[in-house]
Amino acid sequence: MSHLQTYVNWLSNSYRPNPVALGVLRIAFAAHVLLFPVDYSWVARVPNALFLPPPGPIALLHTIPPEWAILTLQIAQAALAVLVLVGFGTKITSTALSVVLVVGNGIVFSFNKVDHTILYALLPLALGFIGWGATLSVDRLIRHCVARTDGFVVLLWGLTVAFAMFTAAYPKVLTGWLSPAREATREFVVRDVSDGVQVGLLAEFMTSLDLQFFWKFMDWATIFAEGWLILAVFFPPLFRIGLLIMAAFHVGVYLTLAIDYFSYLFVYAVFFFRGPSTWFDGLSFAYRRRTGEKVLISP
Amino acid sequence: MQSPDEVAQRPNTANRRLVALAVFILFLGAQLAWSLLSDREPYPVVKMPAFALQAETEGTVLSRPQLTTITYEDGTVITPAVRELMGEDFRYSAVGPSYDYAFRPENNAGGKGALSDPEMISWLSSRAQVLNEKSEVVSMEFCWKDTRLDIATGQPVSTQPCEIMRLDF
Repeated sequence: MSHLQTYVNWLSNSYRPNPVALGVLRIAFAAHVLLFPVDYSWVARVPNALFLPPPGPIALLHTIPPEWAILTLQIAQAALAVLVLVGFGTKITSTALSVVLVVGNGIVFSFNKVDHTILYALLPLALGFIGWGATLSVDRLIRHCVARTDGFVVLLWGLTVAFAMFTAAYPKVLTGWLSPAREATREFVVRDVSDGVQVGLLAEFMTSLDLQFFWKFMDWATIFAEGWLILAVFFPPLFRIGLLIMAAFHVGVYLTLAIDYFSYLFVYAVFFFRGPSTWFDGLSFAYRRRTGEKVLISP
Repeated sequence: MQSPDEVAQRPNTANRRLVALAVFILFLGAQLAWSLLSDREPYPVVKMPAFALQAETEGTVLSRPQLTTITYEDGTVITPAVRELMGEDFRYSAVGPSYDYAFRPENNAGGKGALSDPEMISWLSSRAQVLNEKSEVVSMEFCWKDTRLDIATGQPVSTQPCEIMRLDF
């Protein structure tokens, strides 16, 4: 076996999640879809003149879909979420749920704003193939097979997440976020407070911070936090650190710009479904800690 | 039955994984290329928000507030927030962009655009009645003015006169 093959196998093994934790995530995600469903119903109540689908398959629609079609989509979303929740035909129902979420979101995003919830919509597809139906599911009761999860699909999911973040980082570099003369984060906060449409709890406080070093640091830190994941994904302990930084970053964005990324907890969780003592295996401090543990329990 | 580790060690599995990884990376690259070549953001693509406006004049930022004035038959004049005008059930993130798309002067040039669409006019009339049930709506004005803000204070440093889009019912 080549070094590359061995490396990919090591990556897959390092990302392979615990099947029971994954089963709990499946139930929690399906419950989230049921309790906080994407609302499609309002699109049937606004004029067609506002309908401008983004380039792609949704652009095949020339008018807002009829109310019965929207209702069918809404019901299909709920029914599939129930099937995913109980773990019935999990790979198929999870894939179908992703399709419904992508199509439904596409219609909702045809009003001049594409929200960036694609990872949430694709999550059932990815985690269905990782094996989130392997335990705590009807499938498990029927088949009595060994509960297995696939770390290689987690690697592909990690690449997807890292790539998504990279697409947020590089345009910032191209539009002057690195320039010492510009305070881009501050510009966005000030603009949002001025527009007053949607501001976070800390927005007013943040605008009062006249600290150039702080604002420039925020610009650079944002680009780093989003950009380095595309490399870190090939070293699982660093990727996990990167995701923890991203989680903190999302909290900061919520408090200042009121953009809610809490559903991304579902997106990141699968990378932490192993024993916490193995999260950072490969990093020197983790090695020392584990070596220390061995010394402690050795006679 | 072989364990997952044993399956992974099989040369065929390892080869398949390498090919799948390469194809997947190519797929991600291809959809990024699609995104870059499109004049508007395509969907569905794996993408996150860029917050990438071009650099502003040093120390200031341009804002274009959304100001609506509705006049009723009984003389009542109201200035609803964008969210009030568009409706509480309108998706929150689409409210501002839809308002811009429908009511900006450049999108209604030459008498073409949302403001000359009968369905839109009827909808705006019904929205105006929801905001004030006591009197019939007479007109609606959308004021567009570029405002430059100081990023240190958040206060306007310069404001252009309104460019008004007017709709008489």
